[in-house]
Amino acid sequence: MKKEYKMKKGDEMKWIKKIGKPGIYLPLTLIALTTIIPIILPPFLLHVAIMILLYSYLGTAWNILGGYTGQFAWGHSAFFGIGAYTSTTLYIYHKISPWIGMLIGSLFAAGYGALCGAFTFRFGLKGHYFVIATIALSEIIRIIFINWAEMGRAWGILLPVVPDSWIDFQFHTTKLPYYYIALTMLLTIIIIEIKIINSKLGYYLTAIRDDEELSESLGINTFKYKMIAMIISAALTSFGGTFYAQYVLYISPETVMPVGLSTEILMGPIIGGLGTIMGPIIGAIIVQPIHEFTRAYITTYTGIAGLDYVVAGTLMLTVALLQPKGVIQYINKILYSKTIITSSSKGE
Amino acid sequence: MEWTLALQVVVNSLLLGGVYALIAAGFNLIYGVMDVINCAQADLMMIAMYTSYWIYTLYGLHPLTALIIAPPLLFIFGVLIQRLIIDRLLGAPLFTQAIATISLGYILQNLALIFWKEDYRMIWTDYTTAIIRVGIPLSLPRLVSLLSSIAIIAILYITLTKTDFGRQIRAVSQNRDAAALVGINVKKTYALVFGIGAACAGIAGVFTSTFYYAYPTVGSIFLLRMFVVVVLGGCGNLLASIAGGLIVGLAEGIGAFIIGPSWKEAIYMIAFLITLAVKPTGIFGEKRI
Repeated sequence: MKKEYKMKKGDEMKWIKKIGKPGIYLPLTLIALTTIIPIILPPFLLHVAIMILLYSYLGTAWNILGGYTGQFAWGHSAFFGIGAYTSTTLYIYHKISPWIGMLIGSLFAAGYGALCGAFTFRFGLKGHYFVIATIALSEIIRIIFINWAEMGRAWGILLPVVPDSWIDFQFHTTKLPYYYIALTMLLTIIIIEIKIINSKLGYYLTAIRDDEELSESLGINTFKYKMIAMIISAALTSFGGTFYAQYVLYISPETVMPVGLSTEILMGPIIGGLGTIMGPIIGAIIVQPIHEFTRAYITTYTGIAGLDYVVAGTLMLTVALLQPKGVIQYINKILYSKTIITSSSKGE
Repeated sequence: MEWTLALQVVVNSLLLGGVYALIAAGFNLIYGVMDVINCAQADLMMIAMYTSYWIYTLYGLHPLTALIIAPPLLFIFGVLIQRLIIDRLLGAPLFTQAIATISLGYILQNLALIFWKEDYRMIWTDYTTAIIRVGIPLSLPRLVSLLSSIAIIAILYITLTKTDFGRQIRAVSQNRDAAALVGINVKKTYALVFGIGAACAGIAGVFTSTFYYAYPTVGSIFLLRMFVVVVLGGCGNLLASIAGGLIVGLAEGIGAFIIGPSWKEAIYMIAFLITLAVKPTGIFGEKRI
């Protein structure tokens, strides 16, 4: 039987009230603005916007494991790099479109994620031990690629430049398509994230974050759900890697797999707010412009190499000092004049 | 012939491992007492390496005279870092502290880049090239570094266990609130501990400068090893980080010798992961300082 929706008398008011809430109108306006604004942006600002979208995406992918499940992995650059290398080598050696390479790359990343998860969770590594183990696991992958002749060793791979094409995932006349691809990726991952956190899986994950022993005693298979979170996070991160490879058209172990990249991925969620939807996005909006603008302007104008990083580092430090629990707390305070408890403040 | 070569590899790896232990000692102290991962530790070390280099280059003094200058300098610097940065982040999530100290490290690295450029700077004196023969040739500066690293860790350990000041630190480390209740100034203790940790980085840096290049990002070489050494031995376990250092040194040296230098980092990390698999809290177990 079909249910017919009829508007009742009071409904208009309800809708207006609903739309009047910041939780509804803010995302709607944001989506509208993010779709229209890039058209008028100059190339450099467009690049900054793409970087913000990419790192929002990566931060959100990390957040599923780090923010909601409480597993502070510091090795997501491995998944990113696997995604970048898989699609690129498939494209160069077998002429497979990066779009398909992206999917295959995510399978490989998921496989490596499963391996990492199986190792770290099977042996019950927690806290700092887990953190350092994930760094080590990602570094091992980086060193394998440095020594891998078909993957171009430490020199990396330069992607062949072809005319603009959606199949080849390359656009040179304008960066707009990259922008919209990144935006679509971000919106998709947010939808996935919302689906996850509102499902049983999401409740299990947050339960594991809040108290692992307790959730285990309640019958949650913590190993299984931590594995699921790790695999989802790894696979999603690898898509970002393919996007990066197609955007920059050059990949090497030092650009797509260093520990610094892992740091940059998790910087967004940490600065923005752990375990929240908006956290990684706010974080990326703060972190990426700092990096890009200081890199582009300060050294060019002053001619002093390194000054850009000094300024960027000082700004990052200031943000971390002013909002140690994430900028989202501050924003929530303004919007709702109350604090929303995000992740446990214990830090483990 | 083969055997002396192998022996030489093992001994040299152990010497290197001793230095890793020294570098990790300060990091471990800060971690053990305050639960703070100080990612800028290796960059503090870099500053000490430059101090030693400049003392030698500008004044022609023996590089080890920097031991009089660098550790006190870094002690003051460490106290300042604790007071201005770490103190505000003590209740924050683990990674906020990490990001703050990483940012601090970035700032230090790039200040070094601005002032001293990215040249690789090495001290060449009779001391740094000296070799003594005990059956096999040994690099004198490395041997001195190993011995002093063991001595310094021993001094730290004795201070922590036998003196009143050490007992204060351990009290704060074990239970902050209870320590405050019996009249220990927790903030002051934290500041001093961070200062001592930074001073350890200073000592390590001066010794390292006698056999390794100084350049702005030299810290990145040592930071990961520092993590691994500390976690391998057991977080907060000072004496165990000697063992951790020696294991990392051995894994790296022997691995580089047998498989190839480009794999050496992977090898010590695999050794590390295997150890974790067997004993998830480090070889000698985690403990509070």
